[in-house]
Amino acid sequence: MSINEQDLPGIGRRYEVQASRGQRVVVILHHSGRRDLYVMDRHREDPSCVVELSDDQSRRIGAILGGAFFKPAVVEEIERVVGEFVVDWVTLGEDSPAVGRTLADLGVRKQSGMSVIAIVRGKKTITGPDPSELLKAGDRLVVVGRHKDLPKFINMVVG
Amino acid sequence: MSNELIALGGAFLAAGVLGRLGRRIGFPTIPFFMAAGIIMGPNTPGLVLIENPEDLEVFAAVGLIMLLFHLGLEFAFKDLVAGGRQLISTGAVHLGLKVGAGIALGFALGWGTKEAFVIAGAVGISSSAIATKLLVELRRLANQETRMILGILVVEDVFLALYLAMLSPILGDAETTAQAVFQVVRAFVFLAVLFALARYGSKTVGRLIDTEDDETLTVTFVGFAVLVAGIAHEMGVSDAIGAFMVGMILSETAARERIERLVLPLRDAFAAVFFFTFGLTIDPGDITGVAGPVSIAAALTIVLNIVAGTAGARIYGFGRREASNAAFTLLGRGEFSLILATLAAAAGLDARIGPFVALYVLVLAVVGPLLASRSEALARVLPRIRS
Repeated sequence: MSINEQDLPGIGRRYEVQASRGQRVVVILHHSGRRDLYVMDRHREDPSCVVELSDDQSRRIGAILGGAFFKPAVVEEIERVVGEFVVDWVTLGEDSPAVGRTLADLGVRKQSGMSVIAIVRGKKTITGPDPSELLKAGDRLVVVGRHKDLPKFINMVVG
Repeated sequence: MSNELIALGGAFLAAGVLGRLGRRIGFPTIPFFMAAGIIMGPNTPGLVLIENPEDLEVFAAVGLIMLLFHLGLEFAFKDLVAGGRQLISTGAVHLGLKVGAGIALGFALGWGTKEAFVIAGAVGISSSAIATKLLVELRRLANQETRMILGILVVEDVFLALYLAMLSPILGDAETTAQAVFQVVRAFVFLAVLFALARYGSKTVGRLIDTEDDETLTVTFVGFAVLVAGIAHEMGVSDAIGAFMVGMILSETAARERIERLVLPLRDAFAAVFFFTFGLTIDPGDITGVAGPVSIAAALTIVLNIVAGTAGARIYGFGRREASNAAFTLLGRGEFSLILATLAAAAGLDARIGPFVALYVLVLAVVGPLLASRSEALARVLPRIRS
Protein backbone atom coordinates (compact mmCIF):
# COMPACT_ATOMS: atom_id res chain seq x y z
CA MET A 1 0.00 0.00 0.00
CA SER A 2 1.40 3.35 -0.96
CA ILE A 3 0.93 6.56 0.96
CA ASN A 4 1.33 9.71 -1.07
CA GLU A 5 2.68 12.59 1.00
CA GLN A 6 2.79 16.26 -0.07
CA ASP A 7 3.38 19.68 1.45
CA LEU A 8 0.57 22.21 1.26
CA PRO A 9 2.37 25.56 1.70
CA GLY A 10 0.64 27.72 4.28
CA ILE A 11 -1.71 24.96 5.38
CA GLY A 12 0.17 21.83 6.38
CA ARG A 13 0.69 18.35 4.95
CA ARG A 14 -1.47 16.14 2.79
CA TYR A 15 -1.48 12.34 2.92
CA GLU A 16 -3.35 10.22 0.42
CA VAL A 17 -4.09 6.56 1.13
CA GLN A 18 -5.69 4.09 -1.25
CA ALA A 19 -8.69 2.43 0.43
CA SER A 20 -10.73 -0.56 -0.72
CA ARG A 21 -13.02 -0.55 -3.76
CA GLY A 22 -11.30 2.36 -5.43
CA GLN A 23 -11.95 4.81 -2.64
CA ARG A 24 -9.21 7.16 -1.52
CA VAL A 25 -8.77 8.74 1.89
CA VAL A 26 -6.99 12.09 2.05
CA VAL A 27 -5.77 13.32 5.42
CA ILE A 28 -4.90 17.01 5.80
CA LEU A 29 -2.69 17.82 8.77
CA HIS A 30 -3.07 21.54 9.48
CA HIS A 31 -0.22 23.47 11.12
CA SER A 32 -2.79 24.41 13.76
CA GLY A 33 -3.16 20.76 14.77
CA ARG A 34 -6.56 20.39 13.19
CA ARG A 35 -7.06 17.39 10.87
CA ASP A 36 -9.42 17.07 7.90
CA LEU A 37 -10.40 13.69 6.56
CA TYR A 38 -11.60 13.60 2.95
CA VAL A 39 -13.12 10.43 1.53
CA MET A 40 -13.05 10.38 -2.26
CA ASP A 41 -15.10 7.87 -4.25
CA ARG A 42 -13.83 6.32 -7.45
CA HIS A 43 -14.43 8.47 -10.56
CA ARG A 44 -15.77 11.31 -8.43
CA GLU A 45 -14.00 14.64 -8.22
CA ASP A 46 -15.84 15.90 -5.14
CA PRO A 47 -15.23 14.34 -1.77
CA SER A 48 -18.15 12.11 -0.76
CA CYS A 49 -17.56 13.11 2.85
CA VAL A 50 -15.36 15.46 4.84
CA VAL A 51 -14.71 15.20 8.58
CA GLU A 52 -13.03 17.93 10.62
CA LEU A 53 -11.23 16.74 13.74
CA SER A 54 -9.38 18.41 16.59
CA ASP A 55 -5.96 17.16 17.64
CA ASP A 56 -7.41 15.18 20.53
CA GLN A 57 -10.25 13.68 18.53
CA SER A 58 -7.92 12.48 15.79
CA ARG A 59 -5.61 10.81 18.31
CA ARG A 60 -8.51 8.87 19.79
CA ILE A 61 -9.78 7.79 16.39
CA GLY A 62 -6.23 6.89 15.41
CA ALA A 63 -5.96 4.68 18.49
CA ILE A 64 -9.22 2.92 17.67
CA LEU A 65 -8.18 2.36 14.05
CA GLY A 66 -4.80 1.08 15.19
CA GLY A 67 -6.46 -1.40 17.55
CA ALA A 68 -4.77 0.22 20.53
CA PHE A 69 -7.85 1.55 22.23
CA PHE A 70 -9.23 -1.62 23.83
CA LYS A 71 -6.06 -2.49 25.69
CA PRO A 72 -6.22 -1.75 29.38
CA ALA A 73 -4.70 1.60 30.25
CA VAL A 74 -1.86 -0.05 32.21
CA VAL A 75 -0.66 -1.98 29.22
CA GLU A 76 -0.83 1.08 27.02
CA GLU A 77 1.29 2.90 29.56
CA ILE A 78 3.83 0.10 29.82
CA GLU A 79 4.17 -0.63 26.15
CA ARG A 80 5.13 2.87 25.24
CA VAL A 81 8.16 2.57 23.03
CA VAL A 82 10.70 5.35 23.13
CA GLY A 83 13.04 5.15 20.16
CA GLU A 84 14.83 1.82 20.26
CA PHE A 85 13.96 1.31 23.92
CA VAL A 86 10.98 -0.67 25.05
CA VAL A 87 9.07 -1.08 28.28
CA ASP A 88 7.34 -4.47 28.36
CA TRP A 89 5.96 -6.92 30.84
CA VAL A 90 6.10 -10.72 31.07
CA THR A 91 4.29 -13.24 33.30
CA LEU A 92 6.12 -16.19 34.80
CA GLY A 93 4.44 -19.58 34.25
CA GLU A 94 4.60 -22.63 36.63
CA ASP A 95 7.57 -24.07 34.76
CA SER A 96 9.41 -20.88 33.82
CA PRO A 97 13.17 -21.24 34.41
CA ALA A 98 13.20 -18.18 36.65
CA VAL A 99 10.71 -19.51 39.20
CA GLY A 100 12.37 -20.16 42.56
CA ARG A 101 15.49 -18.17 41.67
CA THR A 102 16.59 -14.59 42.27
CA LEU A 103 17.39 -11.83 39.78
CA ALA A 104 20.96 -11.88 41.06
CA ASP A 105 21.69 -15.55 40.48
CA LEU A 106 19.95 -15.46 37.10
CA GLY A 107 22.26 -12.58 36.16
CA VAL A 108 19.42 -11.01 34.19
CA ARG A 109 21.09 -7.71 33.48
CA LYS A 110 24.46 -9.19 32.57
CA GLN A 111 23.09 -12.04 30.46
CA SER A 112 20.24 -10.34 28.59
CA GLY A 113 20.93 -6.62 28.87
CA MET A 114 17.38 -5.99 30.19
CA SER A 115 16.55 -4.55 33.61
CA VAL A 116 13.62 -5.58 35.77
CA ILE A 117 12.18 -2.37 37.21
CA ALA A 118 9.12 -3.77 39.00
CA ILE A 119 7.45 -7.01 40.00
CA VAL A 120 3.66 -7.21 40.17
CA ARG A 121 2.75 -9.99 42.56
CA GLY A 122 -0.98 -10.37 43.08
CA LYS A 123 -2.17 -7.02 44.41
CA LYS A 124 1.29 -5.97 45.52
CA THR A 125 3.74 -4.10 43.31
CA ILE A 126 7.42 -4.20 44.19
CA THR A 127 9.12 -1.28 42.48
CA GLY A 128 12.89 -1.34 42.14
CA PRO A 129 13.09 -4.95 43.38
CA ASP A 130 16.08 -6.10 45.37
CA PRO A 131 18.36 -8.44 43.31
CA SER A 132 17.86 -11.07 46.04
CA GLU A 133 14.05 -11.12 45.58
CA LEU A 134 12.85 -14.69 45.04
CA LEU A 135 10.69 -14.98 41.90
CA LYS A 136 7.43 -16.90 42.03
CA ALA A 137 5.09 -18.39 39.43
CA GLY A 138 2.47 -15.84 38.41
CA ASP A 139 4.84 -12.89 38.99
CA ARG A 140 4.61 -10.23 36.37
CA LEU A 141 7.95 -8.61 35.64
CA VAL A 142 8.06 -5.08 34.22
CA VAL A 143 11.18 -4.85 32.18
CA VAL A 144 13.02 -2.09 30.33
CA GLY A 145 15.77 -2.33 27.74
CA ARG A 146 16.58 -2.40 24.08
CA HIS A 147 14.03 -3.87 21.73
CA LYS A 148 16.47 -6.41 20.31
CA ASP A 149 17.36 -7.78 23.75
CA LEU A 150 13.75 -8.62 24.59
CA PRO A 151 13.58 -12.12 22.97
CA LYS A 152 16.77 -13.19 24.80
CA PHE A 153 15.26 -12.06 28.10
CA ILE A 154 11.95 -13.82 27.52
CA ASN A 155 13.75 -17.01 26.54
CA MET A 156 15.87 -16.88 29.66
CA VAL A 157 13.19 -15.95 32.22
CA VAL A 158 9.84 -17.18 30.89
CA GLY A 159 11.13 -20.10 28.85
CA MET B 1 -5.75 58.89 27.29
CA SER B 2 -9.26 57.62 27.93
CA ASN B 3 -10.33 58.94 24.52
CA GLU B 4 -7.70 56.85 22.79
CA LEU B 5 -8.63 53.77 24.77
CA ILE B 6 -12.28 54.17 23.84
CA ALA B 7 -11.24 54.63 20.19
CA LEU B 8 -9.02 51.55 20.23
CA GLY B 9 -11.52 49.36 22.04
CA GLY B 10 -14.30 50.54 19.75
CA ALA B 11 -12.13 49.81 16.73
CA PHE B 12 -11.51 46.23 17.85
CA LEU B 13 -15.18 45.66 18.67
CA ALA B 14 -16.57 47.24 15.52
CA ALA B 15 -14.15 45.22 13.39
CA GLY B 16 -14.99 42.07 15.31
CA VAL B 17 -18.76 42.50 15.03
CA LEU B 18 -18.72 43.35 11.33
CA GLY B 19 -16.14 40.66 10.57
CA ARG B 20 -18.33 38.05 12.27
CA LEU B 21 -21.33 39.24 10.33
CA GLY B 22 -19.34 38.79 7.12
CA ARG B 23 -18.21 35.30 8.12
CA ARG B 24 -21.81 34.35 8.85
CA ILE B 25 -22.78 35.03 5.25
CA GLY B 26 -19.59 33.56 3.81
CA PHE B 27 -17.39 36.56 3.08
CA PRO B 28 -13.74 37.17 4.02
CA THR B 29 -12.96 39.25 7.10
CA ILE B 30 -10.40 41.76 5.76
CA PRO B 31 -12.81 43.91 3.69
CA PHE B 32 -15.30 43.88 6.56
CA PHE B 33 -12.68 45.14 9.04
CA MET B 34 -12.01 47.94 6.56
CA ALA B 35 -15.73 48.62 6.11
CA ALA B 36 -16.07 48.93 9.89
CA GLY B 37 -13.45 51.67 9.72
CA ILE B 38 -15.30 53.49 6.94
CA ILE B 39 -18.58 53.40 8.90
CA MET B 40 -17.04 54.49 12.21
CA GLY B 41 -14.84 57.14 10.64
CA PRO B 42 -15.25 60.89 10.38
CA ASN B 43 -16.40 60.75 6.75
CA THR B 44 -19.72 58.99 7.22
CA PRO B 45 -22.85 60.22 9.00
CA GLY B 46 -23.89 58.53 12.21
CA LEU B 47 -21.60 57.41 14.98
CA VAL B 48 -18.12 58.88 14.73
CA LEU B 49 -15.94 56.78 16.96
CA ILE B 50 -12.65 58.21 15.81
CA GLU B 51 -12.32 61.78 14.70
CA ASN B 52 -8.67 61.50 13.88
CA PRO B 53 -7.22 58.37 12.25
CA GLU B 54 -3.77 59.37 13.56
CA ASP B 55 -4.87 58.31 17.05
CA LEU B 56 -4.55 54.71 15.98
CA GLU B 57 -1.46 55.23 13.82
CA VAL B 58 1.00 53.33 16.02
CA PHE B 59 -1.32 50.38 16.50
CA ALA B 60 -2.03 50.19 12.78
CA ALA B 61 1.72 50.29 12.09
CA VAL B 62 2.23 47.38 14.49
CA GLY B 63 -0.51 45.51 12.61
CA LEU B 64 1.28 46.03 9.30
CA ILE B 65 4.57 44.92 10.88
CA MET B 66 2.98 41.76 12.29
CA LEU B 67 1.38 40.91 8.93
CA LEU B 68 4.66 41.16 7.09
CA PHE B 69 6.65 39.55 9.91
CA HIS B 70 4.37 36.51 9.77
CA LEU B 71 4.67 36.39 6.01
CA GLY B 72 8.46 36.39 6.26
CA LEU B 73 8.32 33.69 8.89
CA GLU B 74 6.23 31.44 6.64
CA PHE B 75 8.35 32.29 3.63
CA ALA B 76 9.91 29.08 2.39
CA PHE B 77 12.12 29.09 -0.62
CA LYS B 78 11.99 25.30 -0.60
CA ASP B 79 8.26 25.40 -1.46
CA LEU B 80 9.19 27.31 -4.58
CA VAL B 81 11.95 24.85 -5.46
CA ALA B 82 9.72 21.86 -4.68
CA GLY B 83 7.14 23.16 -7.16
CA GLY B 84 9.67 22.82 -9.97
CA ARG B 85 9.51 24.30 -13.43
CA GLN B 86 5.74 23.78 -13.71
CA LEU B 87 5.09 26.01 -10.72
CA ILE B 88 7.58 28.69 -11.76
CA SER B 89 6.10 28.98 -15.24
CA THR B 90 2.51 28.94 -13.97
CA GLY B 91 3.33 31.59 -11.36
CA ALA B 92 5.10 33.67 -14.01
CA VAL B 93 2.03 33.53 -16.25
CA HIS B 94 -0.26 34.62 -13.40
CA LEU B 95 2.01 37.44 -12.25
CA GLY B 96 2.94 38.54 -15.76
CA LEU B 97 -0.67 38.87 -16.85
CA LYS B 98 -2.05 40.47 -13.70
CA VAL B 99 0.80 42.76 -12.73
CA GLY B 100 1.32 43.66 -16.39
CA ALA B 101 -2.33 44.56 -16.73
CA GLY B 102 -2.10 46.52 -13.46
CA ILE B 103 0.75 48.65 -14.80
CA ALA B 104 -1.07 49.21 -18.08
CA LEU B 105 -4.22 50.21 -16.21
CA GLY B 106 -2.19 52.46 -13.90
CA PHE B 107 -0.69 54.37 -16.81
CA ALA B 108 -4.02 54.47 -18.64
CA LEU B 109 -5.62 56.17 -15.64
CA GLY B 110 -3.02 58.88 -15.94
CA TRP B 111 -2.57 59.45 -12.21
CA GLY B 112 1.21 59.35 -12.52
CA THR B 113 4.14 56.94 -12.85
CA LYS B 114 4.60 56.19 -9.15
CA GLU B 115 0.86 55.66 -8.87
CA ALA B 116 0.95 53.19 -11.76
CA PHE B 117 3.57 51.08 -9.99
CA VAL B 118 1.46 50.94 -6.83
CA ILE B 119 -1.68 50.01 -8.76
CA ALA B 120 0.28 47.23 -10.50
CA GLY B 121 0.86 45.50 -7.18
CA ALA B 122 -2.53 46.28 -5.67
CA VAL B 123 -4.31 44.79 -8.68
CA GLY B 124 -1.79 42.05 -9.44
CA ILE B 125 -1.22 40.27 -6.13
CA SER B 126 -3.91 37.96 -4.71
CA SER B 127 -4.64 37.73 -1.02
CA SER B 128 -3.07 34.57 0.42
CA ALA B 129 -5.26 34.84 3.51
CA ILE B 130 -8.51 34.96 1.55
CA ALA B 131 -7.57 32.25 -0.96
CA THR B 132 -6.36 29.84 1.73
CA LYS B 133 -9.50 30.31 3.82
CA LEU B 134 -11.68 29.75 0.75
CA LEU B 135 -9.95 26.45 -0.03
CA VAL B 136 -10.53 25.22 3.52
CA GLU B 137 -14.15 26.34 3.58
CA LEU B 138 -15.08 25.03 0.14
CA ARG B 139 -13.52 21.71 1.19
CA ARG B 140 -11.11 21.61 -1.68
CA LEU B 141 -7.94 20.71 0.21
CA ALA B 142 -7.89 17.23 -1.30
CA ASN B 143 -8.29 18.46 -4.87
CA GLN B 144 -5.35 18.00 -7.20
CA GLU B 145 -5.25 21.67 -8.25
CA THR B 146 -5.07 22.92 -4.64
CA ARG B 147 -1.34 22.36 -4.49
CA MET B 148 -0.92 24.41 -7.65
CA ILE B 149 -3.06 27.23 -6.21
CA LEU B 150 -1.04 27.31 -2.98
CA GLY B 151 2.13 27.20 -5.06
CA ILE B 152 1.02 30.25 -7.04
CA LEU B 153 0.48 32.07 -3.74
CA VAL B 154 4.07 31.19 -2.76
CA VAL B 155 5.36 32.60 -6.06
CA GLU B 156 3.34 35.75 -5.43
CA ASP B 157 4.83 36.09 -1.94
CA VAL B 158 8.34 35.90 -3.38
CA PHE B 159 7.41 38.51 -5.94
CA LEU B 160 5.88 40.68 -3.21
CA ALA B 161 9.15 40.72 -1.27
CA LEU B 162 11.16 41.84 -4.30
CA TYR B 163 8.46 44.30 -5.32
CA LEU B 164 8.31 45.92 -1.87
CA ALA B 165 12.10 46.28 -1.88
CA MET B 166 11.99 47.99 -5.27
CA LEU B 167 9.00 50.15 -4.44
CA SER B 168 10.62 52.01 -1.54
CA PRO B 169 13.17 53.91 -3.63
CA ILE B 170 10.49 54.54 -6.29
CA LEU B 171 8.24 56.14 -3.70
CA GLY B 172 11.20 58.07 -2.24
CA ASP B 173 11.18 61.87 -2.20
CA ALA B 174 14.55 62.43 -3.87
CA GLU B 175 14.79 65.73 -5.71
CA THR B 176 18.10 65.32 -7.51
CA THR B 177 19.53 62.31 -9.29
CA ALA B 178 22.43 62.09 -6.84
CA GLN B 179 20.00 62.00 -3.95
CA ALA B 180 17.97 59.28 -5.65
CA VAL B 181 21.08 57.20 -6.30
CA PHE B 182 22.15 57.63 -2.69
CA GLN B 183 18.73 56.52 -1.44
CA VAL B 184 18.67 53.46 -3.68
CA VAL B 185 22.19 52.45 -2.66
CA ARG B 186 21.45 52.96 1.05
CA ALA B 187 18.25 50.92 0.78
CA PHE B 188 19.95 48.06 -0.97
CA VAL B 189 22.94 48.02 1.39
CA PHE B 190 20.52 47.80 4.32
CA LEU B 191 18.58 44.99 2.65
CA ALA B 192 21.81 43.18 1.78
CA VAL B 193 22.87 43.32 5.46
CA LEU B 194 19.52 41.85 6.55
CA PHE B 195 19.71 39.24 3.82
CA ALA B 196 23.23 38.23 4.87
CA LEU B 197 21.95 37.99 8.43
CA ALA B 198 19.16 35.68 7.27
CA ARG B 199 21.59 33.56 5.30
CA TYR B 200 24.57 33.34 7.65
CA GLY B 201 23.62 34.79 11.02
CA SER B 202 20.43 32.94 11.88
CA LYS B 203 22.22 30.62 14.33
CA THR B 204 23.54 33.56 16.34
CA VAL B 205 20.22 35.37 16.19
CA GLY B 206 18.47 32.16 17.19
CA ARG B 207 20.71 31.84 20.26
CA LEU B 208 20.03 35.46 21.19
CA ILE B 209 16.25 35.31 21.05
CA ASP B 210 15.45 31.69 21.83
CA THR B 211 14.49 31.05 25.42
CA GLU B 212 12.69 28.23 27.16
CA ASP B 213 9.60 30.15 28.09
CA ASP B 214 7.09 31.59 25.65
CA GLU B 215 6.74 34.86 27.50
CA THR B 216 10.24 36.22 26.98
CA LEU B 217 10.40 34.75 23.48
CA THR B 218 7.27 36.71 22.51
CA VAL B 219 8.56 39.94 24.02
CA THR B 220 11.90 39.52 22.26
CA PHE B 221 10.65 38.74 18.77
CA VAL B 222 8.08 41.54 18.86
CA GLY B 223 10.83 43.94 19.91
CA PHE B 224 13.15 42.70 17.18
CA ALA B 225 10.49 43.02 14.47
CA VAL B 226 9.29 46.48 15.48
CA LEU B 227 12.82 47.84 15.98
CA VAL B 228 14.13 46.64 12.62
CA ALA B 229 10.95 47.89 10.91
CA GLY B 230 11.60 51.30 12.44
CA ILE B 231 15.25 51.33 11.38
CA ALA B 232 14.19 50.19 7.90
CA HIS B 233 11.88 53.17 7.72
CA GLU B 234 14.74 55.50 8.74
CA MET B 235 16.92 53.95 6.02
CA GLY B 236 14.35 54.77 3.36
CA VAL B 237 13.14 51.20 2.97
CA SER B 238 9.54 50.63 4.05
CA ASP B 239 8.88 49.26 7.54
CA ALA B 240 6.94 46.50 5.76
CA ILE B 241 10.02 45.05 4.10
CA GLY B 242 12.04 45.43 7.32
CA ALA B 243 9.48 43.36 9.23
CA PHE B 244 9.39 40.83 6.41
CA MET B 245 13.17 40.38 6.56
CA VAL B 246 13.10 39.87 10.34
CA GLY B 247 10.49 37.15 9.83
CA MET B 248 12.74 35.55 7.23
CA ILE B 249 15.76 35.68 9.58
CA LEU B 250 13.78 34.05 12.39
CA SER B 251 12.32 31.42 10.06
CA GLU B 252 15.81 29.91 9.85
CA THR B 253 16.09 29.50 13.62
CA ALA B 254 15.04 26.59 15.78
CA ALA B 255 12.37 28.73 17.44
CA ARG B 256 10.46 29.13 14.18
CA GLU B 257 7.51 26.89 14.98
CA ARG B 258 6.98 28.37 18.41
CA ILE B 259 7.14 31.92 17.04
CA GLU B 260 4.66 30.96 14.32
CA ARG B 261 2.22 29.83 16.97
CA LEU B 262 2.81 32.82 19.26
CA VAL B 263 2.61 35.54 16.61
CA LEU B 264 -0.80 34.51 15.25
CA PRO B 265 -3.04 36.09 17.91
CA LEU B 266 -0.91 39.25 17.86
CA ARG B 267 -1.11 39.43 14.09
CA ASP B 268 -4.87 38.84 14.02
CA ALA B 269 -5.58 41.55 16.58
CA PHE B 270 -3.28 44.29 15.27
CA ALA B 271 -3.87 43.53 11.58
CA ALA B 272 -7.60 44.09 12.22
CA VAL B 273 -6.73 47.54 13.62
CA PHE B 274 -4.60 48.18 10.54
CA PHE B 275 -7.48 47.37 8.17
CA PHE B 276 -9.87 49.37 10.36
CA THR B 277 -7.57 52.40 10.37
CA PHE B 278 -7.23 52.23 6.61
CA GLY B 279 -11.03 52.32 6.46
CA LEU B 280 -11.07 55.46 8.62
CA THR B 281 -9.14 57.38 5.98
CA ILE B 282 -11.65 56.55 3.26
CA ASP B 283 -14.37 59.06 2.44
CA PRO B 284 -17.31 57.28 0.78
CA GLY B 285 -17.88 60.50 -1.16
CA ASP B 286 -14.61 59.86 -3.02
CA ILE B 287 -15.61 56.34 -3.88
CA THR B 288 -18.13 57.36 -6.53
CA GLY B 289 -15.33 59.20 -8.32
CA VAL B 290 -13.34 56.00 -8.76
CA ALA B 291 -16.27 53.67 -9.58
CA GLY B 292 -15.37 53.68 -13.28
CA PRO B 293 -11.71 52.72 -12.87
CA VAL B 294 -12.63 50.13 -10.24
CA SER B 295 -15.17 48.39 -12.47
CA ILE B 296 -12.62 48.26 -15.27
CA ALA B 297 -9.98 46.90 -12.86
CA ALA B 298 -12.34 44.27 -11.40
CA ALA B 299 -13.53 43.12 -14.83
CA LEU B 300 -9.94 42.97 -16.04
CA THR B 301 -8.92 40.94 -12.98
CA ILE B 302 -11.71 38.40 -13.50
CA VAL B 303 -10.95 37.95 -17.20
CA LEU B 304 -7.18 37.66 -16.64
CA ASN B 305 -7.68 35.21 -13.78
CA ILE B 306 -9.64 32.97 -16.14
CA VAL B 307 -6.92 33.28 -18.80
CA ALA B 308 -4.13 32.61 -16.28
CA GLY B 309 -6.09 29.79 -14.66
CA THR B 310 -6.57 28.13 -18.04
CA ALA B 311 -2.90 28.55 -18.96
CA GLY B 312 -1.85 27.09 -15.59
CA ALA B 313 -4.19 24.13 -16.02
CA ARG B 314 -2.67 23.45 -19.41
CA ILE B 315 0.86 23.50 -17.95
CA TYR B 316 -0.21 21.03 -15.24
CA GLY B 317 -2.31 18.89 -17.59
CA PHE B 318 -5.53 19.65 -15.73
CA GLY B 319 -9.01 20.11 -17.20
CA ARG B 320 -11.25 23.17 -17.24
CA ARG B 321 -12.80 22.28 -13.90
CA GLU B 322 -9.42 22.75 -12.22
CA ALA B 323 -8.75 25.85 -14.32
CA SER B 324 -11.99 27.37 -13.10
CA ASN B 325 -11.33 26.53 -9.44
CA ALA B 326 -7.88 28.13 -9.64
CA ALA B 327 -9.13 31.21 -11.48
CA PHE B 328 -11.88 32.06 -9.02
CA THR B 329 -10.12 31.08 -5.80
CA LEU B 330 -7.32 33.55 -6.58
CA LEU B 331 -9.70 36.49 -7.17
CA GLY B 332 -9.62 37.81 -3.60
CA ARG B 333 -7.59 40.95 -2.90
CA GLY B 334 -6.88 41.97 0.67
CA GLU B 335 -3.90 42.54 2.92
CA PHE B 336 -1.29 43.28 0.21
CA SER B 337 -3.45 45.71 -1.71
CA LEU B 338 -4.31 47.62 1.47
CA ILE B 339 -0.65 47.69 2.56
CA LEU B 340 0.30 49.15 -0.81
CA ALA B 341 -2.44 51.78 -0.58
CA THR B 342 -1.15 52.74 2.89
CA LEU B 343 2.42 53.05 1.58
CA ALA B 344 1.12 55.20 -1.28
CA ALA B 345 -0.74 57.48 1.11
CA ALA B 346 2.35 57.81 3.33
CA ALA B 347 4.43 58.79 0.29
CA GLY B 348 1.89 61.48 -0.61
CA LEU B 349 0.78 59.92 -3.89
CA ASP B 350 -2.49 60.74 -5.68
CA ALA B 351 -5.30 60.69 -3.10
CA ARG B 352 -7.54 58.67 -5.40
CA ILE B 353 -5.45 55.52 -4.79
CA GLY B 354 -6.97 54.99 -1.32
CA PRO B 355 -10.62 54.95 -2.37
CA PHE B 356 -9.72 53.08 -5.56
CA VAL B 357 -8.08 50.22 -3.67
CA ALA B 358 -10.78 50.22 -0.97
CA LEU B 359 -13.61 49.83 -3.46
CA TYR B 360 -11.64 47.33 -5.55
CA VAL B 361 -11.00 45.15 -2.50
CA LEU B 362 -14.67 45.38 -1.44
CA VAL B 363 -15.98 44.46 -4.89
CA LEU B 364 -13.69 41.43 -5.21
CA ALA B 365 -14.46 40.43 -1.62
CA VAL B 366 -18.09 39.97 -2.62
CA VAL B 367 -17.60 38.71 -6.18
CA GLY B 368 -14.67 36.39 -5.38
CA PRO B 369 -16.34 33.97 -2.94
CA LEU B 370 -19.59 34.03 -4.94
CA LEU B 371 -17.78 32.94 -8.10
CA ALA B 372 -15.42 30.54 -6.30
CA SER B 373 -18.26 28.61 -4.68
CA ARG B 374 -19.88 28.21 -8.10
CA SER B 375 -16.65 27.63 -10.01
CA GLU B 376 -17.53 24.05 -10.91
CA ALA B 377 -20.72 25.13 -12.67
CA LEU B 378 -18.86 28.04 -14.25
CA ALA B 379 -16.25 25.62 -15.59
CA ARG B 380 -18.79 24.40 -18.14
CA VAL B 381 -18.87 27.76 -19.90
CA LEU B 382 -15.07 27.97 -20.11
CA PRO B 383 -13.31 26.83 -23.27
CA ARG B 384 -12.17 23.22 -23.28
CA ILE B 385 -8.50 22.68 -22.59
CA ARG B 386 -6.55 20.73 -25.16
CA SER B 387 -3.54 19.04 -23.68
